[in-house]
This record gives sequence, structure tokens and C-alpha cells, in this order.
Amino acid sequence: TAPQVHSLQELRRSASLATKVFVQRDYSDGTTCQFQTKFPPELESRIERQLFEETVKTLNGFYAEAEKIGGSSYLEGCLACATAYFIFLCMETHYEKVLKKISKYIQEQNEKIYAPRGLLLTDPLERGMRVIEISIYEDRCSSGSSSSGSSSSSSGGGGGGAGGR
Amino acid sequence: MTPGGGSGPMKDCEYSQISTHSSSSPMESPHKKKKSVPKRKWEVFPGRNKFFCNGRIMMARQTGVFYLTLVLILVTSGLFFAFDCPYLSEKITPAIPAIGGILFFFVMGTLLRTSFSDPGVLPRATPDEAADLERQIDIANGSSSGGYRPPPRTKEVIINGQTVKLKYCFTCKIFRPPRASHCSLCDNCVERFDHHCPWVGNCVGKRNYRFFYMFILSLSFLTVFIFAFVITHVILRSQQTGFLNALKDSPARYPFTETNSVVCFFSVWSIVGLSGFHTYLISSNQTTNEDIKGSWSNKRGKENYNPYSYGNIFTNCCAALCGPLSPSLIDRRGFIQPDTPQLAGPSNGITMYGATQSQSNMCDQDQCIQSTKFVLQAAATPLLQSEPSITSEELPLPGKTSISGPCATLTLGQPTPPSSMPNLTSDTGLTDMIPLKEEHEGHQFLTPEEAPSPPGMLPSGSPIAHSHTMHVLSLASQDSLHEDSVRGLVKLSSV
Repeated sequence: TAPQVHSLQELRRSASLATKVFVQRDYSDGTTCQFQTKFPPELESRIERQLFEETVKTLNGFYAEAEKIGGSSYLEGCLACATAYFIFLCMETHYEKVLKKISKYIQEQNEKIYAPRGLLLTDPLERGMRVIEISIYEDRCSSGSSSSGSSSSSSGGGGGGAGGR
Repeated sequence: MTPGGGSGPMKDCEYSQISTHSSSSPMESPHKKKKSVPKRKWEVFPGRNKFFCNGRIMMARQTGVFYLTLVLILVTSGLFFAFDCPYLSEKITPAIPAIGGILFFFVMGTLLRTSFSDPGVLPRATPDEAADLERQIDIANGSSSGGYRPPPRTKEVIINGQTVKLKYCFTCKIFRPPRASHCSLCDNCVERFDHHCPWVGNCVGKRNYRFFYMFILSLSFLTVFIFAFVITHVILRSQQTGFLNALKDSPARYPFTETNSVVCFFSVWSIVGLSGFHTYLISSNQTTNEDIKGSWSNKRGKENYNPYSYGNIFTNCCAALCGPLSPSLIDRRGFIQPDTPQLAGPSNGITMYGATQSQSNMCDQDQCIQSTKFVLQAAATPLLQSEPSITSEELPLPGKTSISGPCATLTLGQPTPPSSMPNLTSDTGLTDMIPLKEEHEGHQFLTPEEAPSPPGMLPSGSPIAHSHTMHVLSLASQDSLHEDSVRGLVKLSSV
């Protein structure tokens, strides 16, 4: 299919889930949470490669920060151990804080970059940190060239149809 | 007319909601609706686990041995504090019961943490994921070779120079991450699976390994402590009155001292031995599973080494015990249906109203932005949260033709809408999303209960006003969003 530049008008009129692409985990560095930056072929026509790669790389960076073993994580671990881990009942762990940042980032990316292109990112946390699920929405109207004409006619027809019932 | 027309399929949905409680008055239906309270995810968890405190506590199915552990620890410590401590605290020092108390507190805390927390269970794959994986496996193996023998499902990955085979789990329909294993007792894949411990009544995995280790370490200190001071007690007493007299006195005045010491004697060896073993495992960054299988031993080959080890003992220990604690992936207490204000939140309502009120002065572009946001918010949460409900139900019953259409759109991703609602597709594609999902979620509540098919419901249908009343009375979130969508439809269609 010809690459469609989806105007917001088209997206408004018709959005139905066509398919989902799954970006798998990259285990080459061990069990740390990293995702493959390989560009899925299904997204070829929908989004620029560089934008996608940047999203995944930023996410990988966030996860690396969450799982980092360093001074602050040792402190947290020792403190928790000293209190027989009762401190976890009231305190939020470093990992959870980073996860909140990640979820905000994903929402932001969706709003700015992915939704205008008819795509939707799902937070990997919802999928057990196994995949980044990207939902691809397809237009229901067939032709992109007659978009301006069809928008007015279909909205009019839709209104008429709705009024007719 | 327009409101009625604009919400054709939603009318069906409303009818389906009403028909369930067709014998009851509208006032009663909210009660019935409230009875079928939206379920939390732990209630439909596919593994063999037991949950307590509304999903806060998670254990394996067989917990008998755990109670035995609790009883042993409580009784032994209790007897120690009751009968040996008074004598020892006045004879030697009151620090003895104090230290004993601290150790006991630590042991109980870590035991409960180990037993009650999620060991690192991997949630099972969603149907879309599973289908995608199957497709990829078929492509990789050549789908023509289907035949009688299913091809082996493994993936090879190179970690730090070592080749690791990732196995496909047929139960969870995922490729297991490295070091994960499927526990047959709990029927779950667990990350960094160590072993299933009946004494704590749970699996020991990535998330609770440090609690488990601290438990057995502190328990070994506690048992050694109690054992030592019970012996001290007997010795001191025997110095006073002679050994045989001490033993004679003890059943009368200090019952079970011998039992206590016997229990402690055996516990000491087994628990101390176990602590030592796990100290070795931690320092070499292996799991019990890997050690037993000899995954990284030199006997397999000279090239074999542990790719997860950090190289030195200190780092390995710190990483295992003081590393970051990853969160639970199974979200036990989350709700399956979005009955939280997320969907029907003011943001969505305002979006719709904002679009509708200012329709005269807003240009199409702005309206599209609003609607896109609506899609985003609407699509994100229901897609994520309603998927389990979709899986559990698959496709709706064939009788529900008018409703199954939109639901099929969701489950199968078919772009073509059913012919029964042509007017909706053109201008209400966005608002389609929410009502359709909610119809489906409505199904979740209704299918066990309702008998009649939707066509039968239609004649009993109420005008929109009544359905609005129904909306008001039924579950808040679904119906306020219905309202919003209905009104939005009305306004949008008149654009």
C-alpha cells in the first residue's frame, strides 16, 4: 500500500485495530531488561525508523537505570535488610519510581508521536516485561486521495444516517 | 430521533443490560449489577496459587508444611523465652532475651515476606502475543514441516559469550527468559527460579530470594542461639544441683527443655547446612536449579562458565542481596474491567464535551486532536484491561448478531463493520471504541445469567430516556461513558 500520511481527520473518522507488532527482549546482556532495537518491517510505512529506535533506546536506558547496581541501590537494600524488609511496606522502591517515569514517557510518546501515526505503544509492564506491544490502527476508508471529499460527505452522510434512524 | 438513531448498536447493548434484569424493576438492577462486582485479577489467575487478603498475599497451593514451620519456630522460641530466659537473664545478662527477641522478629519478618510475596511469576502471554510467536516459530521452522512431530521450540541467545538455550513454555505460551523455569507445583513460570520450597509454602525466585536467604540465615543464628543457651541453662543448673537433679527438675519446672534441645539439634545441622549451601550459590551467582543440573559446571566442558556471575564474590553477594527489587508483574489487585474512573473520567467526558460545545468555532483539526486523544485514552486502557475479559470469553454467542459484530471487530481486528450499523462507521469510528468495549464487558457480566437472545430483547427496548436512566443506575463508569459517547455521537454526527 502507498504510504499514507494520516491526517488527524482521517484518524478521527475511522480507527480500528489492524494488527499488533511485538518488540521482543534482547537477552544478549544477561537477564537485565532490554528490548531489541531492530526495526519491525510492519512499521516500515508508518513511522520513521529513527523515531522508533530512539523510543526503544530511551526505554532501554530507563530500565538500565532502574536495575542499576550501585551506591544508592546498596543503601536501599541494606536499609531494607536492617528493618527485616518492613520498610517496603511504606517506602516506594527505586525501581517503582523509575517505572512511573517510564509510564509517563510512554504516554507522552503516544500522544506526540505514535497516535498521530495511527500507532499505540503499550507499557511493557502490562505484558510482563516481555515485549513492547505496538498496536497498528488501520483506516477504514479505502482511498487516501479523496480524503477531503470523503470527509465532508461521510460526516454528512453519517449525520444524515444517524438522523434518519 | 437522532439520539435514538445514533446509538443503534448501543441500544442493543442497553437492551442486553436490561434484559438480564427484565423481571426486576430498574431500581433492583443496580443491586444485581453491584453483586457482580468487577473482579480483581487474582481471582482469575491461571496458576495454582492461593491468594489471601484480597490479593495482597500469594502462596502455593499446599501450605500445610508452612504452618508446620510456623508452629515449630513459634513453639521453640516461645518455650525458650518462657522458660529459659528468666533464669538466664538473671544469671548471666538480660541481653540474652533481647538479642533472642531481635532474632525472632527478624526470622518471622523474613519468613512471612518469603511466603507471602510474589516470587517473580511471569504472566502468561496474551492471545495476540501467543499467536505472533506461533507465527514466528512456523516461519522459522517452515510451516510445511508441520507433520506429526512438532518442531522443538528453542531459541539460542548469546549472553556474555556463552550460548544459552531459551525454551518455549507450552503452558504459558512464552519463550522463557534466561534462568526462568516453570514450577510444576504452582503451574507458573518464575523468573530466576531457584526452587519450590514447601517449608515456606511458595516458590523461591527472583523477587523473594533475598528474603529466603535472610530467613534461613537468621533462622540458623536463632536455632544456634537457642540451642546454645538451652544447653547453658542445663549446665548452669546442673552445676548448682547436679546433673541428674537438673534433668529431674526440668520436666516439672522447665518443661520440654530436652525436647527443645533435640529439635534445635536437628534443626541446627539442616538449617546451617542449607544456609551454607545458599551462601555458596549466592557467591557464585547460581540458582539451585542450575547447580543441580550442573549447567555451569566445568564437567560439561572447559568452555563452560557462568555468564551471569560478576566475577568476584563480593559483587555477586551484593547484587543478590542488595540489588534493586523488581516489581510484581502479575498485578494481583488490579481490576479486570475498567470500572475505575480512568475511562469514564472527567478527562474523557470533557474531551467530548469540549469538542461538542465548541463545535461551531473549533476547526476540524482541533476536534480531531481531541478525538485522537480520546482514542488514545480510550484505546489504551480498555485494550489493556479488557483483553483478559476478551480471552476468557472468546467470541460472544452467535445469537447476539448485532453485538457480536463490534465485539468481533475488537477480538479479530476486522476492519469491516457489520452491516447492521452502517451509520455508525462513518462518523463515529472513535466513539465506536468505547461503547463496543463496554458492550463486551457488559457481556462478561451477563452471559452466565442471561438466557434470551438480543433479537428477543429488542421489542422490550426502551427509549433513550429510559436507557439513560439505566445508565444512571448501573455501574457508574461504563454508563457515564455510555452517556458521554451517546451525547458525543449526537454532536459529532451533526458536525
